[in-house]
Amino acid sequence: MTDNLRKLARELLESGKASVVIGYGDATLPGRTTPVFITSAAEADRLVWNEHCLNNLAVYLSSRKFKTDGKIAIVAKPCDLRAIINLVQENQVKREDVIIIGMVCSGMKDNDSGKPLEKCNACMEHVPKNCDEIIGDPASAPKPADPNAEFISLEKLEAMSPDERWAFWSKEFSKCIRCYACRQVCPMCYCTQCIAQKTQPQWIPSSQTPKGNFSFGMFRALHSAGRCVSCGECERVCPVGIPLNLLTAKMRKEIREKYGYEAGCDPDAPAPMCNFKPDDKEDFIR
Amino acid sequence: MKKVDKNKLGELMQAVLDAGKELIAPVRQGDHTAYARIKKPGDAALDILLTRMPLKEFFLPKTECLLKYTNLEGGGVEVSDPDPLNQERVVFGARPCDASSLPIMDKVFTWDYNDSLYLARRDKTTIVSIACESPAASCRCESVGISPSAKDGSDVLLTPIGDAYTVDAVTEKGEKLVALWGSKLSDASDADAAKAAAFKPALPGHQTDTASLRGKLKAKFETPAWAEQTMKCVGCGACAYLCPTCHCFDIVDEKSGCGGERRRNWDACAFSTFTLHGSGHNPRAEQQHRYRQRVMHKFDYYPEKFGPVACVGCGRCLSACPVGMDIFEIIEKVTADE
Amino acid sequence: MSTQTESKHESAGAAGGFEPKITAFVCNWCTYAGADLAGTSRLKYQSNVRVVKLPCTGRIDPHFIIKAFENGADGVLVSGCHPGDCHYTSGNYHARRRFTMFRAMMEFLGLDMDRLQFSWVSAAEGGKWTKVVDDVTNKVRNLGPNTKYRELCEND
Repeated sequence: MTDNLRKLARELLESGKASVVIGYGDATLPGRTTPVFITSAAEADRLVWNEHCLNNLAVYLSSRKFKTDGKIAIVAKPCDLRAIINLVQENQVKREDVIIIGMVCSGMKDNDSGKPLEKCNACMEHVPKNCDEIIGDPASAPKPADPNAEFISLEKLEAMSPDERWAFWSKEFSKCIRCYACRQVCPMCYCTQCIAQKTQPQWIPSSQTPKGNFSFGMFRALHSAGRCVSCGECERVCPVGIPLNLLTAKMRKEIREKYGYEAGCDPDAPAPMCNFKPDDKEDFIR
Repeated sequence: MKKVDKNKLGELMQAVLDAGKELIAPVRQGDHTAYARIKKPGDAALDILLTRMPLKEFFLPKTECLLKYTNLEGGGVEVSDPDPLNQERVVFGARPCDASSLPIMDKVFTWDYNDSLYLARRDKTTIVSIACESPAASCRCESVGISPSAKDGSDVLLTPIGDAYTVDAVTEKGEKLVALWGSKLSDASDADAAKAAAFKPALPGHQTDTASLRGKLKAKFETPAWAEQTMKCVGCGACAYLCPTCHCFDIVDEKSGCGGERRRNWDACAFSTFTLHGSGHNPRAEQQHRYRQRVMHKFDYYPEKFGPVACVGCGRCLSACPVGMDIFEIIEKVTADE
Repeated sequence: MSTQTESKHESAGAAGGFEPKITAFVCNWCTYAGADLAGTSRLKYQSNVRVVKLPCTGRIDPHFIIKAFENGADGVLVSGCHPGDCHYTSGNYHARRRFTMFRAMMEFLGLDMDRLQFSWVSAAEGGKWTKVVDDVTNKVRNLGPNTKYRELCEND
């Protein structure tokens, strides 16, 4: 697949169809990859494809925008691809400005443990959709997991009492150092000013204390409701290991159950949190 | 020189606790690792090569109160200062890189102003470091002139010699602690001392000769290589917050009810808000300028003012970076001849 | 809001028992008018609720609710126009989806859900307003002080 990817990148750059190919290259630490920006055909051999292509490169299309005159070709796993589609839905990127190179993906592995990622075990989409080019053989892709597999991790918490859940999250958020890595790698966190940085009025205390940490963690996940494509980058990059995916998974589960919506699957679908139906469920309102 | 059996470190930690001192050691918190206060020696996880969090939060906490204020009924404000630390502490099982970061921070906190809160913490804390037997691929200490058995910043250094450690009191504080341990330690022979002196594990990762490259940085301030090399930076603060020597902070007033606190919070030059002016102008407008600041501060501005580089090569920023940035690779690339 | 005055108020509860502080975020057009009707009709209800009037439930950001909890509210009541009656046509429909997600999040974090009540009260429902307020006040009184948020903020 790496060879095919490099060949495609060369063609795109030589023909001028794309001015840059955003993909993965080898990192300096053994076994890891790092985002690379290939702007000439001669550099195309820096591209790699392996089980450690963890980053969601869609972040370089939204807030950490790559500036170029031509089209951007971007290497995307099926999960990352959903992020790009969601960005198109939210008018953050024009579909025609991007050439999506979809990768048939059989799952990624953790950098440290070498084990398959939790999100990959629960993956329903190994074959990319809505892309311009496909690399890999769709027939070789693993079978999709059960649609509810991604919510299994929630069961343990949902079975707890409210007090136990509060204690769990208090402990987890006490570790937060407010490095904002979760926000910065999220393709959907593209606000030019984050609510967490607002000072007048200050909605989220900036100190690295339980009150502000709780508020920040909760609101980041809340703002992802109906937009999170479950790429799991927030949890992967958290330097202190807060299980942030539990929060976003909870939101995805609610969105699916209440509004039957999956983010980033249909470029023409109306976004659930910007729309409504008069007969939406409201069993909690008296 | 003294020595102690490897399986007797728990007794040394217990002696610290028995003497009424606070004990800080590397611990596991689920999958996460950090230095933490512990109540019993068994909680220490000395097998961790390098904790995810550095030692600095015990000297420069991620958030700390600088003053408290209360608006009084009928007018006026009451202001009170926090008390400096008044509890003896021992850090047991620091790594030489983490210990080396403390003298680097000391220079900043005693430069034009003696920071009493920081200095009290330094004064009350004795650091016992353990030399690293099996450094990791991300270890870069030799890139900055430190070694897996460096003594700088440690009060006591334990160096592995087979089934035992030599116990080397580096400072006066260290000597006091060794005296406290007394008969729990035995005398090291000349052969033991020779073994310890010869202790030099190989670093598996690529080491960069920053001593010769950093002189070139100033001339390369405007090179387009900065933009190329930092394109992938997403602008989070993970590198700075995990860095043992990054010491930038923000001062904020947090109001609650009719009073509040003035706080010193960690801040990071990678954030776009770090240099954002009230007018909306940002002198470090792009991420490349912010990352360049990080490199220049560590390898040019700080050494120019204080001597050593402000990096101990612990490699945390390499292994924790969401996008795999390698500060040493970037130094090599930007200083390379065009 | 001063914590000193607040704590005095709290300790002034009947017979020294715990009296909860409830913050109510209500819309201008329906619930506020409904509460007004309760007043002009001389209906009695418990005095634990402090009303904050906003143009529409669509204007009530979940941040308001969190700030109320952080600043010592034991319970929060959010109330606006019935579906279909929004003065701005659809503000309450949008709010309903937002609060659905927010409520799920708070429940998942471990807040006692009796502390967070949502209701539709029209301008004609002065009686319903008194029932809603009495009900949420009684529930929160039974739960006691919002210790979870207080501990969170004390450790701050």
